[in-house]
Amino acid sequence: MHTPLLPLLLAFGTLGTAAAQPATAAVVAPAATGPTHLRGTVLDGAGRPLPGVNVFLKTTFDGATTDSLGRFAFTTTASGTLPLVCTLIGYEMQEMPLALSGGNLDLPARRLRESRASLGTVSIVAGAFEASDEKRAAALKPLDILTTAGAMADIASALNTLPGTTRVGEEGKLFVRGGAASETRYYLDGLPVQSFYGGATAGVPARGRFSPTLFKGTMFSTGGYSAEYGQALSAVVGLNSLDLDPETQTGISLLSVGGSLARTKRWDRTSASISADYTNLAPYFGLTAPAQRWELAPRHLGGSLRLAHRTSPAGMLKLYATYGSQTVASRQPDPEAAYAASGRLTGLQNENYYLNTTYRTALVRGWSLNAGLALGRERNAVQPEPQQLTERERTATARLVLTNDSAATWFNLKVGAEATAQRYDLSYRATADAPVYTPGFAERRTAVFAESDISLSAHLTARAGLRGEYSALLNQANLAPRLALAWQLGGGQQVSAAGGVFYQNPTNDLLRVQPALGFERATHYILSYQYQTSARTLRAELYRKDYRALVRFDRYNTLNPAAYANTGDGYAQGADVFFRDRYQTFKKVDFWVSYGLLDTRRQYRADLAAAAPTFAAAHNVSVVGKYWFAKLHLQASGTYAYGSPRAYYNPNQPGYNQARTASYQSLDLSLSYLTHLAGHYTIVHLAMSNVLGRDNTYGQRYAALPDAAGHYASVPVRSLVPQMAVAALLISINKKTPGDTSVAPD
Amino acid sequence: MKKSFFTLALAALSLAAAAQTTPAASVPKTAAAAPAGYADLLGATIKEVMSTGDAAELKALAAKMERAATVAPADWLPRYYQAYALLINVFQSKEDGDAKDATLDQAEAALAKARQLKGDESELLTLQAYIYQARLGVSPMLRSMKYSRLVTETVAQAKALNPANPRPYLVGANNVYYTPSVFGGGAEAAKPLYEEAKAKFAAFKPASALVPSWGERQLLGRLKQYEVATATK
Repeated sequence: MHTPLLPLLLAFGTLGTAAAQPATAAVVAPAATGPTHLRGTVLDGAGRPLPGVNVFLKTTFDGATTDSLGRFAFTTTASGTLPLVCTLIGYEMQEMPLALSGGNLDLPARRLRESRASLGTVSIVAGAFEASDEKRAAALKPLDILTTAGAMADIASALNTLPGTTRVGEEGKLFVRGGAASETRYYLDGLPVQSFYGGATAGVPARGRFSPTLFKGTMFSTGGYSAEYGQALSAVVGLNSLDLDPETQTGISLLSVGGSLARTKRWDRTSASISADYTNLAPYFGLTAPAQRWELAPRHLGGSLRLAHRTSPAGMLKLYATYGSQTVASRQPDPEAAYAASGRLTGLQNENYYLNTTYRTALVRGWSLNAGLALGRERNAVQPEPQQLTERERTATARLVLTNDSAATWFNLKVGAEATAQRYDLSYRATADAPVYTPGFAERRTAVFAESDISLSAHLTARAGLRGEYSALLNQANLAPRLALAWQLGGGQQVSAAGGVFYQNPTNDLLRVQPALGFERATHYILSYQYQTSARTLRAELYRKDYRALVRFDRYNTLNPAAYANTGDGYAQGADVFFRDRYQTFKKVDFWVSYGLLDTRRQYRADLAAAAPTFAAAHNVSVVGKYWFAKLHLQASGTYAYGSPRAYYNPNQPGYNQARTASYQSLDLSLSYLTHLAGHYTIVHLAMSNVLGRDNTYGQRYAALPDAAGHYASVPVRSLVPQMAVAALLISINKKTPGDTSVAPD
Repeated sequence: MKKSFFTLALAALSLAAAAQTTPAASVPKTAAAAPAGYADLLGATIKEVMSTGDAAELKALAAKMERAATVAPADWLPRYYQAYALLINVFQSKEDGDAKDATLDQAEAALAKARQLKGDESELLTLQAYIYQARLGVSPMLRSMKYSRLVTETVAQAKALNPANPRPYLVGANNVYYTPSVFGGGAEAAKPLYEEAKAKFAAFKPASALVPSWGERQLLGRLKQYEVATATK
């Protein structure tokens, strides 16, 4: 009933306002003194001629645009005294009264001052990569995550093709600039995600829980990020979910390893979407790798619900709820004598619930409000023979942010507060009949932050922020300043610098043994250069990161709380280069190249000495290419990745982390074919990872105790999924628009 | 109940549309609100905008429209034509993508001012849709998906506000025309839409010499192309 009334009101509204149009006061005086011929020049602040300036007499049509030498000339029949106006985008408007007396009038040169850079047009690039449709400066588009070969529609895998990351094939997570996986924090619509990855056991790389099609933008910061983000020593991934789903449709995905079904309904200001998916790799491994020791091939069952409602032109209420359940059991080679014959059995069951609700609206005087609540609940049970571990974790985070983008013309303001409650419990048995060990902890953490983007001049923009946190569990507070500067050199070039202090709670596996620890700390320094045109992006960055107060414990007695202390430290430094060219050098090829050079050492956790950590490679290269066969409606995509040898500890030799793995190499290919199936837009997708079948090994796993000869037995560490082929048929049934891949189901 | 409201709304709309096509409805107001000679000068400038395809000249005319806006700050038309001239400049210019985007930013800024002045919303939305089409044209490979949808949505809003306005029909037809056939577009798919636009143009009488009335020439040119294509087959 509301909807049909709207056009009615609008129709009458239009008539009403037309009738009520106010009368304009200014009236041009008729020519009394004869025409005046005006002539002059407009210069910029540095005295250079300024072309394109609109110079005119206010309240008349008379004026001219300056030429390439900054000159203008025009004739007016107006007389009396009128304001002479000079306007040009990017410069402050100038007005001065001018008496028109007829005849020739040569004006002295006028100077226009550059206006301060308008906020929002400059994004400080130091440390950050963005995937976005909305910002011109984005290095990636959201669709890139889906169409990058080897990513298999996994967000973290796609981000692994950017510089600053090391591929750690046996884990599959993001390792950024010499940081461990736990040092990267994931945010969904500003709220931290408790458990971004699904459960993983040794040799089964983890995958992210969220489908990339849910997001309209992804921000990946490899350091120096905003005060808005805390609890991350190394990196932040910010995911922005779609607002209203664009249209009603049904999505059917048939995969060689499972399938999913999604139904979306769109009303005028509301959309709802429900989906279910099931994956089972048993038939696939039965077919491709009968020799592999899967006791129970990976299985996943999941579902999600998404609601979005536009409460006002600037108001949006969103709810996203998801459930996932996962089981896997594998037998893997093990150095212990007991498992030599049939391998060691490891089972995993993971169950996860996550709810994310956000509300944003405009308030008065340019303020806007962003509120959110995230609830997470997870049960993760792992049984590496003969042990049994069951982790239970519940977290709740509430967040409130106030932003004022029009605080002044040259700065904005953002203030926020965040409260987190977390409960973690472990139940552990060393063997089936051993006593149960049940450590656990409860944390309450509050954080406040303030940040401002400041336009210092036409070319210099700064972002200054401060974040304070208090942890009840650690009984400690911290204060983290952050600062970033961007200097626009013109011609698409920017030099930027960022730095700051970053704190993080010790990870759950440490706190459960010894909760009386302190924050771990990192300090970042980043210097960045970027050159960008509409088709090309070149980015080069230097960084240095210092770690302090990292937690260490006794390698040979991990359950001794007394040995846990914030006594570790380390550093990481290096250079990252990124180059992307979209259809410029080669007409139909979109490609990017990433190179990261990393030098890092640290002593933390169970490390015996300061050394290069096992998850850092000195040289990392990714080359991603996409070729579009327009006539065939076919996109071919390839990714080549190289990681130089990584360190691992060989107890049979002197030294620590002294042994080196072989290099990591992988070539991944995918093909996407766009077509219509029975009138419905359809994508046929074929993807294969590690096409060349390279046997990547990730070091050696050693027995806990040496044999009689004093030698530690070992087996090589491999991924249980060294190569993977997937075929998919993605159909979207949709009455209105016949095809649009950006809303294709995954 | 719902349905009767809808019919009522439609009836009201067509009344409103009819009222708008009566010349008496808006012309004298514009003239009365602005200084003497304003309407003539604006009319002459509009004529210049409509009769040139020269990129530099269009830029200069956009500047002139900006000046006109200072003569009658409450009139939305100079801002509308400023945006229009900048938009057509983008279609005609040989500049690179970044420069075109910058010009389209200016066009959108002018359009926003016209909206603040409560101009004819259906016309303003049509121009917005046209600007989206120009954005798409700057980089079709990267932008088709997003902007093609925006054009469709905005054109639909413009049609809903004034079903008698022929211009959203033209812009909508162009959008289909330039969409690859695999996505449901192409010349054949667009033809009936052009025919529909033609009927709308035939029935449309601008309320004055100043309000938007462009598009018919472009449409007839396109339809001529179809005839030539059929003849040469």
